[in-house]
Parts: sequence; C-alpha cells; structure tokens
Amino acid sequence: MNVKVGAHAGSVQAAVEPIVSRQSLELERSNWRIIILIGATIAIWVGFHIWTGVFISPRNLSNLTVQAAITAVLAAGLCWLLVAREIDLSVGSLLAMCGVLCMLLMQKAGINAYLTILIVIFIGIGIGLLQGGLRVKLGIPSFIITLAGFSWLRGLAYVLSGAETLSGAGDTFYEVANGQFPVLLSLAIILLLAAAHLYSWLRAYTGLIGPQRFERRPVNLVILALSIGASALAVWVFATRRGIPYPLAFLGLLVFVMEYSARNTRFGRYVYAIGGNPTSARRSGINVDRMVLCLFGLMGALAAIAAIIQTSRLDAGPPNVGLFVNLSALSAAIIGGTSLFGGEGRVLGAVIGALLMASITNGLSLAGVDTFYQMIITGALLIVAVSADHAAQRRPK
Amino acid sequence: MTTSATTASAVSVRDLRKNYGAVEATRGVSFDIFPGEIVGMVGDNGAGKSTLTKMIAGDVAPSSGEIRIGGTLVQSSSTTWARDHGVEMVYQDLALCDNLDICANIFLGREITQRAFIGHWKLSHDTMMAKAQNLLNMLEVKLPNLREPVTALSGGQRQMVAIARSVAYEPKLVIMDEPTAALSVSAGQPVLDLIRRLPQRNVAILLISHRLSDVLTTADRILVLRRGKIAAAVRASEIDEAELLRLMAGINVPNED
Ligand SMILES: Nc1ncnc2c1ncn2[C@@H]1O[C@H](COP(=O)(O)OP(=O)(O)OP(=O)(O)O)[C@@H](O)[C@H]1O
Ligand SMILES: [Mg+2]
Repeated sequence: MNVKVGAHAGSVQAAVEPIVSRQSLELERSNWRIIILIGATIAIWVGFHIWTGVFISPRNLSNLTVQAAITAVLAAGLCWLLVAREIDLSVGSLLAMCGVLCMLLMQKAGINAYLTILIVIFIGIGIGLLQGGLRVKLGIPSFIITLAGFSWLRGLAYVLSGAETLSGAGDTFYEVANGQFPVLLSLAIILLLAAAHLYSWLRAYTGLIGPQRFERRPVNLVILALSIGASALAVWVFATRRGIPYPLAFLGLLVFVMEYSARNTRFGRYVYAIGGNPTSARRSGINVDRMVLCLFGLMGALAAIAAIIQTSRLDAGPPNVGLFVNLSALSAAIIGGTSLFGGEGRVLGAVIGALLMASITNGLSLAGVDTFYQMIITGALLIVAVSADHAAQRRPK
Repeated sequence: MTTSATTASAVSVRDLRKNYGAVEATRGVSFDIFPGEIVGMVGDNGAGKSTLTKMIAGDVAPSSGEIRIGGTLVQSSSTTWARDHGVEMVYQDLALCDNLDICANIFLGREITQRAFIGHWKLSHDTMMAKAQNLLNMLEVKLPNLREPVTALSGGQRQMVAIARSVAYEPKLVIMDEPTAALSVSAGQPVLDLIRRLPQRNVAILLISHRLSDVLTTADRILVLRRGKIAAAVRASEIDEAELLRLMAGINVPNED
C-alpha cells in the first residue's frame, strides 16, 4: 500500500482533503460491473435487431420493460435478502396466491380496484412477516421456511381459486400494468430526471457548480455517457407514441429508493453489514432479527406488487402462474452480481440482470425460436456471469 | 488489593462468580482497573478469562457478585447497556464487516445522520469521514484510503481499525480478548504499539493474551487467573516470563486459602 506516499504528502494534502473526499472503491468496482452488464444487454439488443429487424423499436422496447418488470421487482427484493444472507424460495407461489386474491376480491367480494391493491399488498407484507418471524423466532434457515412457503402458498392459491382461473377485472385494474403516462408528461419526466442527474454529476465531479466532492475518474465519465444515452433512448421509446408504462415507473422509483437507501440510510447500510459479518453486526448493536424481519416484510410487499402487475397484465389470476419466476428472479439477481454468500450485490444490478434475461426471451420469440432455448441460454449465462465474477475477484488479490 | 478507591476506578469487580452447571468458570474474582492503566490478564486455557470479560461486557450474566462501571452498579446484564456506559470489546476475530469500508466499520451501529429531504435521516458521509480521519491521526494509525473495504487490509491493519473503533466514543474501559492471537509476531507489533498509546486518552484497558511477552511489555499490571480465581496480581516491571508461567501453573506457590 502507499502508506509512505500518503505520509510524505501529508502536509500538502491537508489543504485539499476537505474539498475532494475520496469515493468508495467498492462502489466503483460494482459500478464497473453494472456497466459491463449494460454493455452485454446492449450487445444482445443489437444482435437481435440484426437478426429480427424489429427488436429495437419503441413498441418492442416498451413491451420488454413491462415483461421484465415483474421479474425485476422480485429480483430487487431477493437481492437485499441475499445480501443479508437470507433467501426466499416462495415468491413465485406468493405471487400466484396474491393474483388469485386480486381476482377474488374484485369479482367475488365486489371490492374496487384501489382497495383491492391495498389489501393484497398488506396480505403480502403479512405473509412476508410471518415467514420472517418463523425464521427469526425458530432459528430455522430461511431456505427451509420459504421452501415450505413455496409449497403451502401454491396450495393455498389452488384452494382459494378452486383450481379455476378467474379473469376480467375491469378497466381500472387493467390499466395498472397496461396503461402509460401521457406522452407529454413522460417527456417532462425524462427530461427532468436527465437534468437532475446532469446537475448532480456536474456538482459532484467537476466543481463547476458548487464544491467538487469527488475525483473525476473514468468510471464517472462512462456513467455520464450512459445516462445521456439512456435519456435519448427513453425519449425515443417513451415520448414519441406511447408514454412510460406504469410498471416501469414503479420499478424506476423502487430502484432509486433502494439504491439510495443502501448508500445513505442506516437501514441500507445494516443490510450489507449483516451480510458482511452477522456477528460483528450484532455486537455493534444492530438488531439483526428485526432487520431480517423487515426484509421479509419488504419481500412480501414486492411479491404482492409483482402479482398485481402480473394479474393486471394477463387480466386473469391463474393459480399456476409464475412457476419459474422465482428461479428467474434469483438468476437475475445473481447475474446482476448478487453473491449467494451475502454482503455483496446491488439492486440496480439485479434489475438489469432481469432486463437482460427478458431481452433474450423477447428476442428469441421475435425470431420465432422455441422459448425452450431461453432456458438453456439462461443456464449458460448464469455460469458465465458467476465465473466471470470469480475471475475478476481473484485477479486484484 | 485496592478497595479504597472504588469510586475512581473505571471498572470494579467484586467477588464475581459464574457457574455453568457444575463447572465453576470463575470462583469469586475481585479487581479494579483505573483510567489510563493497562492491565494484563493471563491464565491457562479454561482459567475463566473469557467468561470474566463476557460478564463485564454484559454478554453473560454473573451467578453472583457485583460489577461497577465508572462507579455505577450493573443491575442487569446487557451488551447495549455496557456499551452505552463505556465498555468496549475488541475481539480476536470477527471484529469487522469485510464488505464495508474502514469509515463504515468505525461507525457501525453509531452512524452519524442528519435530516434530509422529506424528513428522513441521511448518513452524514462527510462528517464521518472527517471524524474517522481525525481519530486515526490522533492514534497515529496510518491506513490507505478510508473508503477501501477492509478486505483489502492486512490482519494487523484490520485489528488497528477494530481498536480505533473501540475508542472512538471515549469509553471508560476497553477489553481486548487476544487481540494479537491471529497475527504474526511482526504484524502484532504495531497493534501492541497502538494499545500502549491508548492510556493517553484516559481509557482503562484489560488485555488478555497467551503471549506472555506481549503482556509483559504492554501492561502496567498483570492479573494471573488460575481455575477461576486470581492467583496473583503483580507489576509487570517486577516479574519475568518464567515466574509468570509458574504462577499460571500454580507451581511453587503456597496454596491459596
Ligand atoms: N457456555 C458455557 N457453557 C458451559 N461451560 C462453559 C461455557 N463457557 C465456558 N465454560 C467453561 O468455563 C470454564 C472457563 O472458560 P473460559 O472460556 O472463560 O476460559 P478461558 O480462560 O477464556 O480459556 P481460553 O484461554 O481457552 O480462552 C471452562 O471450563 C469452560 O469449559
Ligand atoms: Mg478465552
């Protein structure tokens, strides 16, 4: 390490230090990882576009985001659970159960769409807390608790629905996943977000506006370029004919809140601390049990929200829906850089992992290829992504 | 034994006993540690050292006896209570979260926050960075980038971060259970140097180690624990390693009452 250099330049640095504080190296590393993932996604898009000729179009990309949103919402929740050394194998079953409940509440009980959404989210949280509570109180690994959930929640979905698929929930509910913001509003949102990002970037890295807080490192230039590119793409996709789909808007908000919390709140930091070293976290006064309980509650809420999007999209609540979504969401989180051993992973990575997987499914179906191939490709992708991580981690040591 | 100055001591332990079923881990231990003093504790495996430290740190409830922290009698055992009253513990291992950076580790569980938009409490990164840097400067600990995850540090550096963390909130007593056991002799040296600098901050230190030479060169006083009792209390300057070994083993020492 360059301890000596630091000591030698100590007096010189003292004057500079208050202005330019160093950035987190861990964050920079994970940023590079996400950039590579985005690069891979873009490459897949271009490849499919050359193959099919219709992949990169506003219509298809807009569809793609809604398709990815369901897996992505689950992957976001799973990401934090995995970071904290927990797992949830029951989210697919919970999704089916909540979907059935949506239809039952609206059709059989005659409750309106808004209230239904609220009730279903609360039930999702309740079941998450129940499983988390069992995990914490009985000390049984979450793998087993949620493996049980995988079974009993699916069974409950069949029992509640009588193994029948209810469909037709009415216009309001249908709009949840199939509606979009008006084009002009979408344009305003995109431009506003782009401007906000540009402003904070200029502020933090250049010192052109306000004090410079971080160094101008290559990774930050790439981030700027990507965000400008993404904004341009978003204007083309979401501000020409159709606006931003509601599920995408929710997903965007979710990613922002979770990424922000991970870096800037105690809760977020403790999720990572528990994953890094549960003993040390407990000894530092962190209530590990309560944190785990909260994470399961959050996962329940997200599973319920994914169910609402799914049910609205299909306009039906089949009890056998989402048999594989649990494993796809786990794959997405892992491809996105989440470690199965805890302490590592970012929600943004997990969500882009979901987008990447949805891109392959979408592209293959556009090309008229059997979607079974998608399963083979996902398997290969998992191994490639994880072994690439291993290789990258071994090198700097 | 010091009995008169109880009020001024950082920690004072009286007739402390702990039974695990039929096993008597400690059998009536009494001692005081004063601010600015390093007290070493040695004893064979199973002598009761860890049990003793856990009772003081609030991790284990004593079967009988009393503990006073800075004059306040401990009513019920709780690690949070002990921490809040100025008892810090440095563990042999598992002390840090590898994935968090140095600054985050120093403030873990005691992050500094400020109100930000829509009223939420946001971590004050800049304040914590400045304070962490200050603390390390004061302790003369030189580390690379504070935003580096602690995985990148050597074992000795990690232990120094753990020690810096333990004195960050002006504790009355820092207990160190084998802080150098996982380190090579050369890597342990800077850690011991750091420990020797701590009394300037008016903190009392209880240092437990199996490396007698470390205890002899670092501590002011040494307590010898044998089968759950204090077999001897000596000044470090008045004893050598061989004598210490004899005291630990109970050879050539008149039977205690
Ligand atoms: N949780 C426990 N349950 C039962 N017996 C225990 C427990 N903890 C400690 N003991 C017993 O109490 C005695 C003292 O143990 P302690 O860990 O305090 O010794 P130590 O001096 O720290 O030893 P070492 O040098 O090996 O760390 C031992 O006989 C041990 O077996
Ligand atoms: Mg011990």
